[in-house]
Amino acid sequence: MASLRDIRKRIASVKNTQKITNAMKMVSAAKLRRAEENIKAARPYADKMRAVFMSLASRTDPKVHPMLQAADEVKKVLLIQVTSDRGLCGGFNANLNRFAEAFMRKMEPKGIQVDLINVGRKGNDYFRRRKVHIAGTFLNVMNNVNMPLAESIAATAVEKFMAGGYQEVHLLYNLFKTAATQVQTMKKLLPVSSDTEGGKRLLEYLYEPSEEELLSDLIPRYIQTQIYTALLDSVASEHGARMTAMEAATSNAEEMIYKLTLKANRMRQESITTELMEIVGGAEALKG
Amino acid sequence: MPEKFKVQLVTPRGMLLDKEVEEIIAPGIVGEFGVLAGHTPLLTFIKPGVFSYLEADKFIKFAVGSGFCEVLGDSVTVLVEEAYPESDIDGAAAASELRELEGRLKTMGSVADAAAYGKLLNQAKVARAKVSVSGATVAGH
Repeated sequence: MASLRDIRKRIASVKNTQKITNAMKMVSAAKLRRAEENIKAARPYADKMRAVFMSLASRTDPKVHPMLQAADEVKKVLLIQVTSDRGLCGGFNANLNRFAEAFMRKMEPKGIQVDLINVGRKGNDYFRRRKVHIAGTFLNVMNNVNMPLAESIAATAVEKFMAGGYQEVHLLYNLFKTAATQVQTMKKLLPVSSDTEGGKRLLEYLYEPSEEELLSDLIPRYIQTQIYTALLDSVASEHGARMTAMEAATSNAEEMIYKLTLKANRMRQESITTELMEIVGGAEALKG
Repeated sequence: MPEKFKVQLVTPRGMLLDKEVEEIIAPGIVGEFGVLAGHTPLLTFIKPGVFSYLEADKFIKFAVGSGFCEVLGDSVTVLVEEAYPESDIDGAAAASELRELEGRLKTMGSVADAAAYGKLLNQAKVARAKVSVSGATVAGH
């Protein structure tokens, strides 16, 4: 049985942990605010880009650009998974990894091989020990998400799609809803399909330069923007998830301190009672 | 009172402009173009340069990076990679940035790495637009 001193030590240690989790919570809250601003600022751009792109793509023949053409038979799929570089954020990465694994299992019976590009260290740590081919990694980058990063991820994806024998490229990330909720989201990046909400605008446009030229310049931009917003979404989600996890950890520590203090007090009282009994007993014995 | 239309200037960092204006002038890929209310639907690229809009007889300017512009009857959407309003630009800083970029362009030469050269050239064009918006002068120009 633990001695009184052991329990006091534990209380001190839990208190220290609580200080850390509380500090992490505050840091995450501050970072979350900035990340949330970033993603909110980026969304109009992405939405507009999507709208313009879709209306253009829906009126153009897919044959004009290889990135628009769906393959007849899908053999290999590339999955770009966006996780965080650091842990202590609850189920943030685990949920995503599980999602990716489920996707792979679903594809396996169809004879489709799924390869990964890992953005963020945690996804890579998880999958490099498993029987998954990792086609590329971008590690320790989530601290500083910017356009050039999205550009280089997009360039890798396009290169693999055009030359690497992949027929489809998907993007998997945590979509930021609120600070407490993230939604695992999977999007098809390539080939770019215009089947969704296409042809909404039937107005005839003037095009400068030609429709085809516009489209082929727009495709890489569109892919970049999609990746960029996914990265921003992931960063905001990560901070949200960490804040929630640390909040829970702090209140758990509080509860633990309460229980341990109760136990310590009880033990202290017990020992005082025993001591008193002994003294009284001793005095009685002397009287006789 | 001239007719007004809605214009939005959007970058990945947020919406910089969302209001009713009388006229805009944008740097299109095939030349600068102006838009008044009731313009034919148009989709075109924007090259780095100066974008401006007319409001109360005054042109308000922005230095913009490359992107594209969609004109639809009653609204204009300009999507660019970057944009800086006139009030945010430090003329002297932009001028020295431009000098530095031009120096690097000269030493680099376009043969070695076409992609990197193109990127740098793009940056230099944006810097030039900034300088032109701020009205600063660059030594040697």
